[in-house]
Amino acid sequence: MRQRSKLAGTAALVAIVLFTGACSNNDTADTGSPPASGAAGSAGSGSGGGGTLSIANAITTDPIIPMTVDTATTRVMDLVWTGLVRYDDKLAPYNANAESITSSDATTWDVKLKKDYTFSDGTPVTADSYIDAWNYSAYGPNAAQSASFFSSIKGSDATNPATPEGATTPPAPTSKTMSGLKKVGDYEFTVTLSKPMSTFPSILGYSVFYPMPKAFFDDPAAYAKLPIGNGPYKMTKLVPGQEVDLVKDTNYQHEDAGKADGINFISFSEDTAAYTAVQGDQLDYAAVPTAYLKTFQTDFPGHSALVTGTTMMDMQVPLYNPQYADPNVRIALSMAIDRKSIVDAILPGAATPADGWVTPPLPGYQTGVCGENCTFNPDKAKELWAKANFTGDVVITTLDPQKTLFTSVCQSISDTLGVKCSVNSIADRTSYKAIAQAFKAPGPIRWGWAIDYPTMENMLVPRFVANGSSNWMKYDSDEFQTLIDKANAASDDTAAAKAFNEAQGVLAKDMPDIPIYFQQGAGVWSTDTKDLVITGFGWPDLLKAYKSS
Amino acid sequence: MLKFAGRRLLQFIPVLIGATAICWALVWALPGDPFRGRCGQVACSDQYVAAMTQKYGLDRPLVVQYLVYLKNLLTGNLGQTFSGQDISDVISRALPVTARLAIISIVIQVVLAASIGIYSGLKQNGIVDVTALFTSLILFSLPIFVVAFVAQYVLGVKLGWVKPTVSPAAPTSELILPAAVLAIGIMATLMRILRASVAEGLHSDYLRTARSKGFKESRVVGVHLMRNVMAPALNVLGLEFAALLGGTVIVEGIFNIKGVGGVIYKAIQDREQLTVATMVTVVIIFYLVINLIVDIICAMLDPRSRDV
Repeated sequence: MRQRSKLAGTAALVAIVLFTGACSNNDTADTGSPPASGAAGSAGSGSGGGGTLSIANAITTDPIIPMTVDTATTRVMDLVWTGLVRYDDKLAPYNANAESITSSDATTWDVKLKKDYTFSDGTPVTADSYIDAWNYSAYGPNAAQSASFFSSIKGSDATNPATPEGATTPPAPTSKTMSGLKKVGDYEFTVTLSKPMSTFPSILGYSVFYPMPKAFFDDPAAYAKLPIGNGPYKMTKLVPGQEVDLVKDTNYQHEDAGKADGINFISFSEDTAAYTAVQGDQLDYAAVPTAYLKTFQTDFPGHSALVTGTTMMDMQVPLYNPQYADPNVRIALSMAIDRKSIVDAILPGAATPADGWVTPPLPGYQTGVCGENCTFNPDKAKELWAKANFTGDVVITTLDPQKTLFTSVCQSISDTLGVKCSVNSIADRTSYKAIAQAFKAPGPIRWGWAIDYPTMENMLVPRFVANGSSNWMKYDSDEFQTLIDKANAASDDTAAAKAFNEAQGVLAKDMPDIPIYFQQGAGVWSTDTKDLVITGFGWPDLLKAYKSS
Repeated sequence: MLKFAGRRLLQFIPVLIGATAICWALVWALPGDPFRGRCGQVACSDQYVAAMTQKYGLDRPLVVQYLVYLKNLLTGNLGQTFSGQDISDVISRALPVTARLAIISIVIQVVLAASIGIYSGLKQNGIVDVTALFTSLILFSLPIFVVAFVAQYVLGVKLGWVKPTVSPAAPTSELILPAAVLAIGIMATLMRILRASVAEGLHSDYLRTARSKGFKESRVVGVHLMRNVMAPALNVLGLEFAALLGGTVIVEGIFNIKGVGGVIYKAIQDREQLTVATMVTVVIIFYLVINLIVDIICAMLDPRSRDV
């Protein structure tokens, strides 16, 4: 009898396995998501389209709506929505949903919309779709992560007031709408900025500025379960933080309609797993993790790419820390870092030494704006260090993924200046951010920047303007601010670029932040994926890629 | 038996409350405001931090927060994550995947470890015994991520026998490789325990009595020996199953399994007290129930260990 009960036990376990296996197989069938092999969809022969792409993209659990600020989520939104502008392969904006965006003084902008755009539920995209969405984001109590991106619009300080000096909580907003947004007609509205910004049209392609349908305002929680937009693709399935499946919206009849029939984004917690999945033909695109930088081109001959990207790595230096108050200290540190050797050793071929604070693909970029202050020069560095009165050790704070990098940076500093340098590597992202945001960094702190939208302004303003949304150094320079204002008010792109580059000259002199490298974007894809091009954003143009069966 | 089970169930309650409270307090004690860092590379506006703090009640005293949490838990309201998801959804997505992975891993272990371990015990120092010893110790000593990477690369990429990663729906067929990787790491323990128990049991009095009674060898070993050998093995299995349920972050990362480990890890990083405490509570309940079942089975098998 005991034997039978032992057998029965094993049989029960096996039965559970088979049962749950059968259940999950049914689940896979019921969801109706197209298989990753891309057999669904029209034939790719000749038509240059079709198939379903599966792309590795580390989406978070935050709702996939314009109020969420997260690079991976933006990439999904760029397919489900069409904003006022899109960006071409030179990262310059071109009108998409907008008919025209004009201004005579770079302060008040008149936006006219094309009349033939609809959300995928059939409702039209009107001026209200934009105005209501932007006001929703800018209104503090709505707890939108995107609120700070509307600070340039007049009236945003009334909808999103900051905490005054000495108080612990901010005051209640005095307005639900921004006074700078005015509806002129069903398909026209004006935006008044608090200060002139000639590059304003360039920022409007960023996902925080996308329009929202009435369905969102009626019930945001229900809407977030499967958001709808006005773009070439619509969502068919959304598992927060895991997977979002898109299918081509056949009603979308504009120039930027996509080629693939479907695009599935799958979140991988480890980028090495995504890379292996592409190798095993289970996935169509993955970014190249650092570990595979040396081998990816041989692993994927003919279907990989290395592209100059718009991401940079740098160290913010805490100016509030008396150790680093002397600019000679900061410049000496910058000159003591042998960027080229470090980059060649750790990120071979995938990064270039940074020579400024704006990355190469951006319109207006100029080489060498930092000049000799960002060039490895041991003698000059020692000279400046001797002049300065640095006491104590240099402690660099970083996140774990960049531990090796900053250990090398530390080594370079130690070898050149003779000062003891150590790395404080933190695994937990929230703790690491808290150190910067609480102004408690014991020394230079790893930061980095990836563009939200492709302008020099985005690379310089949030990090270096006084009280900027990413300024953790407490850097405050009137000279810098004047040049930024001049650039923003400039009448043409050349004049603006000139002023932005002069502003970088000020940064080179003050060195509040030490640039390390500009990152390339590297990606690999499967053999059946066609027409995949990685843009200056470091991400493929998914409107042009497709999968042949 | 019922009294025994009932007493044990009552003991669950203080364990659950204590463990939940500790988890809750530990996540709260971690440095960093949960809301300041949620806006990517830019600062979240003060309004955002204030609105979220108020919405999730984090401005109330810690004790009040905890009591509200307990009250909600008892009424079935598991609350929401900071991204607005229902925690019940999060758990109902992650737990079944981890449970299936754990069950498959246990089955693989039982089949392999039982057959090899028992055989090794019966035929000690034979070729099977010695090979099994060395192989299991080598696999046991290798870091699990090495085994996982190699298995994934060789079987998934080079040979193409299996898919290298697990798709989000996690069908059982795709879970077999990660389950085997997990099993290989801990199988050695079970094998050695079974071998030792069997070897010891072969020399015991009751076995001699059974043989002298004239039973067939298969009955002697299959019934009498097995019954006495199973108790320690079941205990180990129970512990391992509970450990697997707690989530195996490394294997989950390598194979991209959306299980409990990843959820708890991410929740700790995001300072989601509710998610961590609730998920840990659910896992602890499973752990306690499994231990109870193992104890009951052991008690049924061996009257001497019945707890009265």
